[in-house]
Amino acid sequence: MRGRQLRRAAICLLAVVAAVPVTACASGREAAEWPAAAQDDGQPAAPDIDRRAAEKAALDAYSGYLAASRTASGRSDPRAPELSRFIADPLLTRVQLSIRDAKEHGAVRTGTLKSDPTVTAVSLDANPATVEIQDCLDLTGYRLVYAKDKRVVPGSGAGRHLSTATATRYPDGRWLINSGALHRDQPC
Amino acid sequence: MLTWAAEGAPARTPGVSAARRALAGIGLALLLVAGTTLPAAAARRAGPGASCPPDQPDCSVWDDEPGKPGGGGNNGGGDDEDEDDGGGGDGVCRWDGRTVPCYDDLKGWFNSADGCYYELAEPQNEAPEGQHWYVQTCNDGTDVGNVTVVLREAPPGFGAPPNPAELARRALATITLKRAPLAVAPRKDNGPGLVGLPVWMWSDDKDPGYFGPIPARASDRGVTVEITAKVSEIVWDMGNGDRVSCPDAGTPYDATDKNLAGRTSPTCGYHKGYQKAGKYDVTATTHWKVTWNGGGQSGEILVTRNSGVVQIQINELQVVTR
Repeated sequence: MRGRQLRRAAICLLAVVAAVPVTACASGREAAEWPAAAQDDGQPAAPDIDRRAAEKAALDAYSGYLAASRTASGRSDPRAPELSRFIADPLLTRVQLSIRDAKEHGAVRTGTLKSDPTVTAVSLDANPATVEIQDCLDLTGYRLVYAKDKRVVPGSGAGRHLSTATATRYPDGRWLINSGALHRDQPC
Repeated sequence: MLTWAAEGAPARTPGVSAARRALAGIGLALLLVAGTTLPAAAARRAGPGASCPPDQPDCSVWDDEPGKPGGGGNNGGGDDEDEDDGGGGDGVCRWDGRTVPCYDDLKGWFNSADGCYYELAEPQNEAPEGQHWYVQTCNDGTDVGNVTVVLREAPPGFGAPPNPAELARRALATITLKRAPLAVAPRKDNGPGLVGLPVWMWSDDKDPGYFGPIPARASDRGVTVEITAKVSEIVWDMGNGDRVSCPDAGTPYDATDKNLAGRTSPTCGYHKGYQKAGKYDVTATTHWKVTWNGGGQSGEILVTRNSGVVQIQINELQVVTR
């Protein structure tokens, strides 16, 4: 009797001790260490393929977003249809408002921006699924100018800064960039 | 901690990072839990705050400028525009002592309860049964940060149709009602007139900018309002306290036609003439009547425009004897 009780208590204790770190590690791995988690579960193939597909779709959406925004900003057209092909709200509205602001001041964006994005986290189990992207955006050649005389808008312009963005999977399967920020305080 | 210190700096880093990772893991787990129960909180966590989007590095470069253009301002001369007191007053919303548009084609509908604009998020993500995702833009857009929130019901004011009277004003803002150019006979530049002789006044109605009619239209959310602006009356101030109202631009005086000498204008004149010699500053005001129609409603907006000044010199009638 006593032996069985002890054994039961020990099992319970073990379970509690084990459960806490396992839960913590599991959720930690989800975000930051997914390659290790993939190897751990003994079936690296299927989840790996899903993750790679998600990464690719997210990076495609990110580069599509930058290209669409460049086109729309070059024309100062907040309603450019390509924007909604790659961007979702709330970022979509923010980008549109920013383009409209420039348009109302007679300004357009010219030049090119250089991007070198990487994926920092993949959360396929989250609802909705998201992919976090980090980029060192080189904006030195991307200027805000007045349309009529091509004069650079005073106070505008940027260098190389860290940029972060989130790609989210929507019910129709599309991956779209729905939030993003340029960290001007973090040069890269 | 002690162990890590004894092991020295190189061994310390992985320990710290492992601890940090575990903490991050717990934090993320909590966030994920919060995210599933409160989608709005999850969206806010991802929200970029007040910094600019990656592709719009200069998004706040305009913030220092006083006043935003394109805020529905009339193209000049807005001062003497008569405000109709529009009982409903649905054209503009009020927030923080200012008037703001009740609808913005990017931000959506203004909610007077919280000072934020709401528009359905595009595209819609999964939401609990019967609920929708909205983009919430607060502080009249000065705060470029906005978030998506999931709401059980549309916020107050959401989806309201445009106010036709407001559309009429918008259409009016697209046209220019010019100040009428004035002509008089006698005109000081051409020589003096005489006491008691009739004065002719006229303006230019060849250019519709001066007397109309000027048509315009404005559309929003499927409602179109058409306006026609036309001068209904021009009131001449003769510079001596007398006023003369004329229904149209009047008739030009032809100095080469000797038959007209001493005659009164058939359409617009100061027939009794000036009773005292002197120099008079003549001005005029055109009274525009803007009629509008659309969205199942119609109405009128009255606008006035003040002219420049034209001068008349009047001399005494003298009998010359030899």
